[in-house]
Amino acid sequence: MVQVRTRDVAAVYREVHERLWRSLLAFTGDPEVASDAESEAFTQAMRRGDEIDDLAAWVWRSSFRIAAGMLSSRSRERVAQHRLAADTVIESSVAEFLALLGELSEQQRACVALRYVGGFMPAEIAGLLGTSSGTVRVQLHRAHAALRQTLADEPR
Amino acid sequence: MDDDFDPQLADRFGVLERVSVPMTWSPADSGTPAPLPARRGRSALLAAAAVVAIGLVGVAVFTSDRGASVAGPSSSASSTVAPASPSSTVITEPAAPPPEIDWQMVRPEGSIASSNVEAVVAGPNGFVATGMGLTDGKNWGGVWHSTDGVTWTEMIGPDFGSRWVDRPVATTTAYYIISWPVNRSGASRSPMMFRSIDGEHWEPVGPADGLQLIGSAGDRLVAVVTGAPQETDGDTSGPSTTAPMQAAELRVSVDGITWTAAAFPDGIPEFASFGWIVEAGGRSYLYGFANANDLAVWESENGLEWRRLAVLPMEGILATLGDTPAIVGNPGLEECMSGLDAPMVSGVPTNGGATDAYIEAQWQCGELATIWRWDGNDWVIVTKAGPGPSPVLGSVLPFAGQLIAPVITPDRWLGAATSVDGAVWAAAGSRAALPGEGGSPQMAIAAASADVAVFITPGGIGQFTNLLVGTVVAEPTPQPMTGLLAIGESVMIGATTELRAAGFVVDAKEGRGPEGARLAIQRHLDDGTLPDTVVIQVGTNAPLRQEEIDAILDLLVGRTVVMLTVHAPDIAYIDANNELIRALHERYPNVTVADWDAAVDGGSITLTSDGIHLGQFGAAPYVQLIVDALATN
Repeated sequence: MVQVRTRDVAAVYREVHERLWRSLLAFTGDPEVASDAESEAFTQAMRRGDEIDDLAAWVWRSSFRIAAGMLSSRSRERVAQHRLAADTVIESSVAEFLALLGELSEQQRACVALRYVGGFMPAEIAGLLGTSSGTVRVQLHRAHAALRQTLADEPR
Repeated sequence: MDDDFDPQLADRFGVLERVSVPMTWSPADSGTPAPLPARRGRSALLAAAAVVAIGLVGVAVFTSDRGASVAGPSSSASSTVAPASPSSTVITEPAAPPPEIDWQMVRPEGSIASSNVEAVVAGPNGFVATGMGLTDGKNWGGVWHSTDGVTWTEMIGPDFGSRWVDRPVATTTAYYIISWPVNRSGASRSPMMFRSIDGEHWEPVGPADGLQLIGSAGDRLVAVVTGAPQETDGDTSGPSTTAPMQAAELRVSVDGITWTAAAFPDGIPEFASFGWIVEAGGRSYLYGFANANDLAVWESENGLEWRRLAVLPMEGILATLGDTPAIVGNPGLEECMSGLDAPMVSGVPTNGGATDAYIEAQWQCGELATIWRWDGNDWVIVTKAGPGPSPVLGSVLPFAGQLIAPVITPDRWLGAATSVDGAVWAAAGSRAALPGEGGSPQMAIAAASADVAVFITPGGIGQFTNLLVGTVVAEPTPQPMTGLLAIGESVMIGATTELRAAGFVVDAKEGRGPEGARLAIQRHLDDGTLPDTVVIQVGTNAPLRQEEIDAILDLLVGRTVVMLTVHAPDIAYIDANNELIRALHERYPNVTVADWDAAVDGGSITLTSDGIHLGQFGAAPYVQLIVDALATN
C-alpha cells in the first residue's frame, strides 16, 4: 500500500509541479520561497498517508498557505519589493513583472496567481484559499484595477 | 470583459513561461525537510547581493542542491554512487527510510568453507547451497543447508557426496535438486529428482531424465525439457541472459513427480531457448532467446501459461526491482574495457590474475550499471550510463524493503550495494571494514530470505569461501507518545510550573504568533517529540487568520487538541480571534475549545495589572481550565 501512496504523490507532483511552482513564484516573487513552500507541501503530503482525500487540491492549498506564512514574517517594507535569490538568475522582464505584482495586497496576489498561472476559476480559488467566491471576485476586480493603472503608467 | 478575467493581464502573465522551473521535490526527499528558519536566514543574507542580479541577460537553469551527488570509488567503508543526470527516472519506494542492514563477513565452518559453492537459494526453511565439495577428496557434489546464513551443514544423507548435483530451486513449499551418479565417461545417467521440505531431510522422488530445473512459479517447479541429459558447465553464478540455454519446452510440477506441459498462447519461435526464472510482484518472469539473437522475457501468473513481453533493450542480468522485473547490465563496459585491453570475463574468472585486472578495469571504466524495469507495458530505463563506478557484478535482489546486490569493492573484496529505488546505490564493504578469511573474490552468488541475505563467492582448494551475511538491524520498539505538550505565548509562560506539575512539556515563548506556534509544532513533529495531546494558546499578540490556524491544525490531525481563547482588554483584534477559535470545533472534530476569555470574564480570576498575564493568582485557574477541557475528551 505504501508504494501505491508514493505513486499517487509522485503522479500529482508530475502533473502540477510546473504550474504550481510558477503560481507560487507569481505569488511570492521569490523562486526560493516558491521552491521551499512547494517542497514542504509535498513532503507533508507524503507524511499524511491516507488522511488526504484530494491530493492535488491539498497540495495547492498547503503550498500557498506555507508560502503565505513565509511571507508574513518578513518586514513590511520588503513586501512591495520582491527579492530575487542570488542563485537564480531571472531575466529583467520577468523580474519587473513580479515587482508589479508586488504592488498588490497578499490576497489579491494569491487570487491573480491562482487565476492566471494556476488557471483556476474563482470558485476553485475560494476553496483553495479558504474564503468565499464573492471575496475572490472582489479581490480579482481590485487587482485588475490596480494593475491596469500600473501597466498604463509603465514607460513604453 | 468579465471582472474575473482580464485577457491583457493574462497576456502579461505569459512572461512567467520563460522561467525554468527547478526540481523541488522527489519521493526520496520525504525525510525531514530543511529547517525553515535556516533557509530564510540564508535568503536574507543573499538579498543584498540579489539586487545586483536583476538585469542580467538570459535565463539560467536553477541549480538545486537537492540533486544527487556523484562520488568516485573509495576504499573507505561506504561510498555513495549516484547518476550524474537528474533526469533519470525514479521508481516507487517506501515513504519511510528502509531498515538498516548490517553486513558481516563470516568465516563459515565445516566443509562449505573450502568448497566450490556454485548456487544458493532461499526457500521455505532458510537457504540451500550446492556446489562441488572439495574436502573429502572425491570432489563431487555438495549440498549445504542453513537457516541463519551463518552456520551451514552439509547434507550427507542421500549420498550427494557421491553424485553430481545441479543448482537448487525452491518453491514456496519445498526445495528440489536434480542429481546423478558420477560417471567417468562424462555423460549423465539416471538423474534423480530430490526433494526436501526443510532443506535438511532429502528424499528422491523420481527420475529426472531430460529435465533441467530453471526456477519456480509460486508453489510450482519449472523445468525445461532437454534433448539429452547434460551436465552443467558449472557456470551457475546467477541468472544471466548469457548463460547456456536449453531447448524450448517447459514443464511444470507441484511435487517433482508429475509434470504438465506449460503453454505459450503467443506461440514459441522455432529456435527459442530458455534460461532462468525470477519472481517479482507475485508473477514469474522467464528469459531466454526467442531465436538465436533476440533476448526475450515471458511472464506468467502461475507457471502454466507464459506470455512474451516486449523486446529487451539490452543484455544483462534478470533481476527484481521491488515488485517488477528488471534487466541489469553494463552496455558500455565492454567497449571501455577493450579500450583498456582488459580481460573480458563474462562469467566466473578462471584465475586470480584475470580477476584483479577485470575488477580494476571495471572501476577505471566508471560506467554505471544500467537498469531497465518492466512497468507493465514496456521496459523503462531506471538509470543511464554516466560517470561513477560500476560496482554491480551480481544479481539484484529485493531485501528488507530495498534492493541489494553483491559487488566487488575496489580493494578486491566482497561487498554489498544497496538502493531504495534502483537508481542511486550505496556500496558498503572493504577489507578493512569487513575483514574475513576469503581469498580473491570472484563472481558472487546471492540469495535473500525475509530477514537474512547471503552473498557467497566460492572457495576452493587452498581458498576459502567468502560469505557476506546481511541482517536487518532491529529498530527499537516505538514508544506510544502519551505525553502532554503545551504550546503558547507569554500568557502561558506564567503557568509553566503548574503545567509541568500537571504533566505537561511546556513550549511557550513571549511574543509568539500563529506562525511561531506552527513552527514549534513542526519542530516537535520532526524531532519525534509531538505527543498525542497538544494544548495551544495563540492570539494575544497578533490577529489570527483562518489559514494560519488551519496550518497549525493540519499538523495535528488525529491528535487531541485543546485551543484556548485569549483575554486582553482593549485590544482590537481579540474578539475576532476568539470568534475564530470558538468556531474551530465545527471544522476540526479533534479540537476542544477551552474558553479562557469567558473564564476571566466570569470575574473570579485575578490577573496582573495589564489584565492579560497570569501573575500569582492566574496560573491555577488557567491550568484547571485546561485540565477540565482534557477531561471532557
